[in-house]
Amino acid sequence: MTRLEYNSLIPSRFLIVSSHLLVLLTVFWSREENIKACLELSYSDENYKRKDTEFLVGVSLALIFLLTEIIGFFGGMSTYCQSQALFSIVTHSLGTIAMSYFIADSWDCDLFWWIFCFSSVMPGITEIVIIMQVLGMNKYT
Amino acid sequence: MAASGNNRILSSLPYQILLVFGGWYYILYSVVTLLLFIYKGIILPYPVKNVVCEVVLLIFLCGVEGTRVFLGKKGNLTERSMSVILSLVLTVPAIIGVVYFLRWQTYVLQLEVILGAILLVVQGLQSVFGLFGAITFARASQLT
Repeated sequence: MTRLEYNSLIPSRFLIVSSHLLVLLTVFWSREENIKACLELSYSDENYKRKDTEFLVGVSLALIFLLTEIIGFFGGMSTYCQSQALFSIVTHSLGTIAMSYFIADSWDCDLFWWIFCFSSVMPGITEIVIIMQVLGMNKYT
Repeated sequence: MAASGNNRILSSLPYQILLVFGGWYYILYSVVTLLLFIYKGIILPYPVKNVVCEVVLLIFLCGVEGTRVFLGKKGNLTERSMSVILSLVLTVPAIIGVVYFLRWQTYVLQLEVILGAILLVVQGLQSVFGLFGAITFARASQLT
């Protein structure tokens, strides 16, 4: 592969991952509307608190998956792995777009789990596999 | 290109990584900030004077940040402490500009707070690594 492709895939992956990080941090601090959207009109405080905790756990897990990916990326484990770069660009860009709609249109907070599944867990798991390959078996892709 | 007599490489890899990706992040930062000016201009009563001032400041900041990252990268690769120190001096206006957009501009959106905070963290790390790099290069050139 030529150097040009490395040079364009790596920064684009970095920019997409950081934009996903931005959107997740934004929803972390302004989540009231989304939580109200998944409760019935006359909700009790207890129900709100339960949903709030549930959602917070989801966002924190997404941030942890993102952090492992950032560590793998900056640690040099998956920096030059092209298939992982492409996979991560596709899933994170879709996740960023979906999360922007999630915030702007205040979607139901249960829908977050679908976005979480497809845009945080999937690239996170492939990243963890790559990190284990590099650290455990010393196999660079 | 080692400035010292022996062939040991003194350039710091973390500093270089931080500079390269900090530069890319700054492009994202300036584009998002510019788009948010348009957004704020449409939905909020935004005096023309303030918009012009803030856009000019952003363009000025782009120049400062570009020079800073360029000097840091070249200084680190050629192991010259002078350009790393110049880059560290330019960090001061860069950080003040980012803090202005984070705290004192006409309307601060939550997105801008998060964007600016991440950029400040990156710039802080760059300054720490840059300081160590400058000290290492200066020592190596004194020894020879």
